[in-house]
Amino acid sequence: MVNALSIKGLNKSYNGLQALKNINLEIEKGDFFGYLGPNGAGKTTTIRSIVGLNNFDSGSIKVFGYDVIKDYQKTRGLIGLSRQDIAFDPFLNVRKILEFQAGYFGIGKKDAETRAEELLKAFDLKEKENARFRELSGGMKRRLTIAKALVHEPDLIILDEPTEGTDVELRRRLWNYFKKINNEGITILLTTHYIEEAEKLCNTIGIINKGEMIKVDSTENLLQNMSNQKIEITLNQKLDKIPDKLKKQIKCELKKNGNVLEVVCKNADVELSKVLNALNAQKIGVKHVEIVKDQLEDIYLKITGGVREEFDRV
Amino acid sequence: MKNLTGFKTLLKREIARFMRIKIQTFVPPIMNAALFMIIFGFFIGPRIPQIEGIDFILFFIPGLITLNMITSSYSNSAFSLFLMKFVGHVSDILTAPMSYKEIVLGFTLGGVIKGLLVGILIYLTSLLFKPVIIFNLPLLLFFLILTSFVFASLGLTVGLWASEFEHVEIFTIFLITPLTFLGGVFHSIKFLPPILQTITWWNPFFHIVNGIRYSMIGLNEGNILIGIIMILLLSVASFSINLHLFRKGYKLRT
Repeated sequence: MVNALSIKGLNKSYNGLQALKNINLEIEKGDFFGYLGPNGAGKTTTIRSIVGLNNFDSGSIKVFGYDVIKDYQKTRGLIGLSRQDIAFDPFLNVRKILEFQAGYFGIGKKDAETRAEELLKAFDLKEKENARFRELSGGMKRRLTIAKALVHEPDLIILDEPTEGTDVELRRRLWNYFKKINNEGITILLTTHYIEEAEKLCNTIGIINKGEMIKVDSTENLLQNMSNQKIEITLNQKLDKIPDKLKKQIKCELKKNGNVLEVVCKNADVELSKVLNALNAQKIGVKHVEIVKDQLEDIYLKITGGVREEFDRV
Repeated sequence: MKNLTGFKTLLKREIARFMRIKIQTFVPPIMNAALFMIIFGFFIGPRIPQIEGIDFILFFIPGLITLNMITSSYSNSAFSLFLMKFVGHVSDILTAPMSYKEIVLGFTLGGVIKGLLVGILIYLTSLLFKPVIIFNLPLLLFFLILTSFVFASLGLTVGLWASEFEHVEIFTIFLITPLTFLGGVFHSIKFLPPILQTITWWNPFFHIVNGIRYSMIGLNEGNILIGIIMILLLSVASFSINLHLFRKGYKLRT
């Protein structure tokens, strides 16, 4: 089966600086793919190369089997791009922005009007249809950018930071919308700085850093294989030292912190009963148990070498 | 054309753009032309001897139309593309499934239409001052359309190249205006000493002005065939250059 996106050996440099280094990436049809990386990692450069806003030095990019250079008209018709930067034609109102966008994609006047009407309603922009984009709020501009990307009903949608600058309510609504269209079979490539967003929405995650693709795996595998988990057990008594028998019975790393025993393991759910049984056998009473699991954000930071800011400790 | 709708939409957008600023688009050239006709036609004109039996006002009306048409078609495509780049929504066009030929033609023909409209409006204004009976309408249309095409194309090239607003104006100030004026908009080549006549002969604008003047009022001071060949070659060359630049993504793709 042909993949929605196939990138092979993609290299791109700007003034001698290598922005993309031998990027290889396959996105299956219908996938919801999260493309993550720190600022300047190469996410937007990859996207610009896919849609034809960048030249690239070497490699190939295929969209549903079509080459983005040789068959550029075909591939551009299959892609809908919601750009990170918000920019609209200042000579057009909201409705016309959508209708003209449909026209550029070869949709006739009548169908363009129908499609614009659908999107105005779907994105709550109907009452602003005659407004210029300067009159829109930040959230409305963001919605219009996404609506514009969807106007020609593309098979692959590229969402570059689609929820940046949106409030929590709008973000949740957009997530639901993205999930809905993905369930309808549309392939989505999402870049975001909100790791929670990627964790909630994406089936597959690709992590790029300094122009190199570091990791591509399913979100589930990433969370399972790269996540550290911890069982925090508050005991009835303070331990002077961890009993040797307990160490023998529990095959995980044990740490004590006052009357709290920390059990660091790969699968806390499996280990929990063993730990409780061992404590019971040692006649050590348990007051409270809590399982703490690494989230995608922690894994992402581990992979990219970033540091999580613990603002709540300050 | 694979995406005829895309091309038509871009052309429609280009027309909608200048029609939205109708006063700015059409009033200044008409006002200027009317003032030129009043001052040079009525106040100064009667003191200037006839040129080949033609009144001065009649002589310069074709030049005035050419001058305004050239600057209108040039500035339309130059500013349209430059503003798109400046605001950032040029990516709407670049990521759409339109061929480079469709994109270049869409922008260029927008400039051609604006140039022709300005030319027609100045012609209609001139009728209030001096009725002009067109000498050769098919030849006039040929020259008007291709002249607008060449300068709309030049505007598009400059719009691509420009990274600041003043870059767009530089060509108008230092190239288009001087060469058009020196190309015989207001004077006959016969007014000039022989050396300047030779220099003027090599000014391509002279052949454009002469072609339009000949097809409008029948006065030929140059060689119409040279004018026809030159404007055809310039049209093909300017279109090909833009097509090449868009294909390469010159100042559009990083």
